[in-house]
Amino acid sequence: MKKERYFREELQRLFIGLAIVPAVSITLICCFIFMGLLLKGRWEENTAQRDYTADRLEQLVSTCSQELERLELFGGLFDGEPDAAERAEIFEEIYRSTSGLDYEAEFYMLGADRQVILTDGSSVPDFLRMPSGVSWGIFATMESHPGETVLRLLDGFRQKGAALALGRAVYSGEALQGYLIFLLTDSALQPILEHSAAQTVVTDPFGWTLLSSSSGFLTDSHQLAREIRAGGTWLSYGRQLYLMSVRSACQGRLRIYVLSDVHNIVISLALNTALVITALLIMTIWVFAATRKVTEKKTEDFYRILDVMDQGKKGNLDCRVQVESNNEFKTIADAYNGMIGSLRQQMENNRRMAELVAVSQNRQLESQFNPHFLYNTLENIRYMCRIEPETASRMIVCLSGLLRYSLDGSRTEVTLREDLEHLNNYLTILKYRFGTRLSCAIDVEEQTMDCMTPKLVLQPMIENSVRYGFGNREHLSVELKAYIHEGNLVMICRDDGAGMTQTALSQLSRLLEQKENKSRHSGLYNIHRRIRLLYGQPYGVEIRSAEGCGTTLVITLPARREENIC
Amino acid sequence: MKHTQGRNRIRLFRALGAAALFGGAALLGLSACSKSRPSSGEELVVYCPHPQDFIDPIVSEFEARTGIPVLILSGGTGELLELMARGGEPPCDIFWGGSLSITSPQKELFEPYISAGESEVREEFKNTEGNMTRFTDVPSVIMVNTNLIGNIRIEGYEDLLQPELKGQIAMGDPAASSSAWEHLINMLYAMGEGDPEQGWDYVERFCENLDGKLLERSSQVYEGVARGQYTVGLTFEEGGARYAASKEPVRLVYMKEGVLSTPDVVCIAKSSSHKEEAEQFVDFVTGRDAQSVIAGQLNRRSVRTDVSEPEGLPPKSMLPVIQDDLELVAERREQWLEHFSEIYEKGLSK
Repeated sequence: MKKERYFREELQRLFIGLAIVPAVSITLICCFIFMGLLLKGRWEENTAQRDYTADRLEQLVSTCSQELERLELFGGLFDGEPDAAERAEIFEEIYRSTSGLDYEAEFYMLGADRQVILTDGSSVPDFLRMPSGVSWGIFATMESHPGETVLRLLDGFRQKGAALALGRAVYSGEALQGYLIFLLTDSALQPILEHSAAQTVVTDPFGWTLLSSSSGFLTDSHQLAREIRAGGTWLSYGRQLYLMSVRSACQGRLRIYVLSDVHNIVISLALNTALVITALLIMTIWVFAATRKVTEKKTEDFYRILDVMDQGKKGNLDCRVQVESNNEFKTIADAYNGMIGSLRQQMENNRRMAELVAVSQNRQLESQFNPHFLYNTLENIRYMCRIEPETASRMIVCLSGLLRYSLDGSRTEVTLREDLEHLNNYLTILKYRFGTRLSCAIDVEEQTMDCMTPKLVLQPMIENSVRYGFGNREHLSVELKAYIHEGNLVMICRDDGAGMTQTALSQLSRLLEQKENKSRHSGLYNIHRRIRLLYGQPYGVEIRSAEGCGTTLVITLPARREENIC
Repeated sequence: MKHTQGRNRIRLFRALGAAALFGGAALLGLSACSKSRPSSGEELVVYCPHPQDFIDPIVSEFEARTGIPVLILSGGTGELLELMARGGEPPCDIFWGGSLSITSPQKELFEPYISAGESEVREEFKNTEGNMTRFTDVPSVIMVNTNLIGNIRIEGYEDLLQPELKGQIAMGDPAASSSAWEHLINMLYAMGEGDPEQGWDYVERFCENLDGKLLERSSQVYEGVARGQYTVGLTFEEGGARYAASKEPVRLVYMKEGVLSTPDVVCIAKSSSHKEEAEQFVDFVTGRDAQSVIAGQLNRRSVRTDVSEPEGLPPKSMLPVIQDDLELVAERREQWLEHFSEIYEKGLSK
């Protein structure tokens, strides 16, 4: 199963590594490049507007101050109330000055008492109606900088009517003669703001506003909001995000704030990113789910082959690989199936060969009748022929029945009943031989009678007892029992004879486990070997004996009745 | 095998993480940029109950002249004094405005300072306490909307009891607004004919005519009358005079029973960390130039001898000015406010 996981991981890694990550990265990169270009465009527009505004204002201010300086040199300006000709001459000069400007400037000439002498404006604004002696507004600035053209934002706190004032206080020696003032009103300068879509605010250093594209940036006092004044390039104000550039103009007297609304760009950027990331997540989940399904389907045949191979490893060769699809796995499966098939054929052949060998070996073994017994019996019969010919005749009948039974090669297995019947022939012969010296008790349960046993299984047991049991004893009793225990047929032959020495017992036990018998203890060995050949482990003969305490032989067989298992 | 798996997973998450980071970084960067907030460290913080239109010309001139940026914190006098006593943010440098009768009980909040122009200040407006520089002279007035008043004659407090005016009178809460507090004192002294405790009878009848309406801020009074929400309003001279000067349908009535004219103050806060700038500010607003502009254009009466009385306002000598006992007023403030509140509550429950 580990292999399956590895295969799937590999597939997922391929999907994610080669498809999702590159796709998402490229989308994101494109998205960011696009946004970057948009923002760059905004920024360029923004700074262009800033520089444009600054240039226009500086140009305007420098032109106006040049004009003021020129007008100051114009003789006899403040020599009393000018007559019509002088007025015309002065106005001609003023108009020549102001006509060169792109924006309308109002000109004021005030006397030392701050009364207006000349103006081309329609009405005198309040901030120029300052009683003499009060140092306030533009007058305060002009008087504190004698001989200089000063710049001052006036009434920046009003919604309308803010003005940029350029003024000079004109002195003749120490004596103040009057004032020359150009006023650039907010309404005259408004066209500067319309140059670009970016929003522009022009203030003095304290935020009082000369011009503003939007009142949304200003406080109730018409002052630029503190957050904006303190803000950086990225400015968040009033739930909107702006790009802001700031520049000082006119020696720091004015500050130009240009704000570009980038809220939508940033929102769409954020949305795009969120979408791409969501898509990535969904795709990843999908890939995890899909690869599982796909690999399961695609590797089904593969694991079916593995499964069958596993089974084969455990010894089960009956499984065949069923592969429906028609691909490489089919070839592998067919080859494997062919290989397993021939292997099974081979194994079947081997098994048959072994069976044949076993059968022939069995035949050979069961036909081995102890020649000692035959010799002894024949001796007895010879002896009996002399004294009891009747008995000799019966003995011969029994022996011949026994011989016929042992030589009958048609059957390997017989019922216990049958074997018992033929054992009686043997016992009869033994009784004639030993008379009262040997007593034999047979106790066989009725249910065991129909169980199958190898032919001539009981005889060697009795033979063994008789052969080793007498020793120097006068009398020997043998007890034969058969019963079924835990599905096994158990046959026990116990005698009260001399028993075996420890050495003899272990020698005999060892002998039983050998594949070939070269000793003369052929009876027990033969029966043990035959049982093993017929039924395999753990069945066979077991010997229990102790010197002077008799011997017990135990034969264990699978309890089977004719044709069917008990 | 497990190692390989683990590495694969790590690599996978690293790739996902990188993509997410890539997206998030820009946004985080943006939001981080916009987090900077202006600090008030450089600015002179002025707590000020004056109307915005009055503050702006003076402050902008002060800034242009000195280069010191000013931050104005507007609000009702009571509210600002409380904020200052509590040590609110941004910390106060200057307390500018609020009548003497309402600020003097809190004079321990102010730093001693004698302004540069103190010698030019009229005798009755001298900074006798050492830390209470008088700024302007503020008579209480009744402001009338001439479009709404019709045939009703308004000459003084007595006329406010007319049933036609019930619910039409704008008055601030004396506990929050210094102009309303001044009017309460004015009523008590004028209607009690010198004995404030005798004036409560009038206050009770007046409160009935208020019909349960009391405004939170003095600006609501003059704005309310100018906009026609109320027919008459009890306010301070400049509050109404601005509208009269700009030809709005507003008339000022100086109560014939007597007008109390209490100065307001400009003081440096003890907590100020800009003492030098604060002194410049006090000198500036009490200086001749500012006082001239205040009198000439902003409809207030100067405290200086060298500044003439405002154009368009009656000279002070023409007003039926009465005097109060500043110490008594300061002492009884809590008691009187409570009394007024009781009377007002009684009116409400009726």
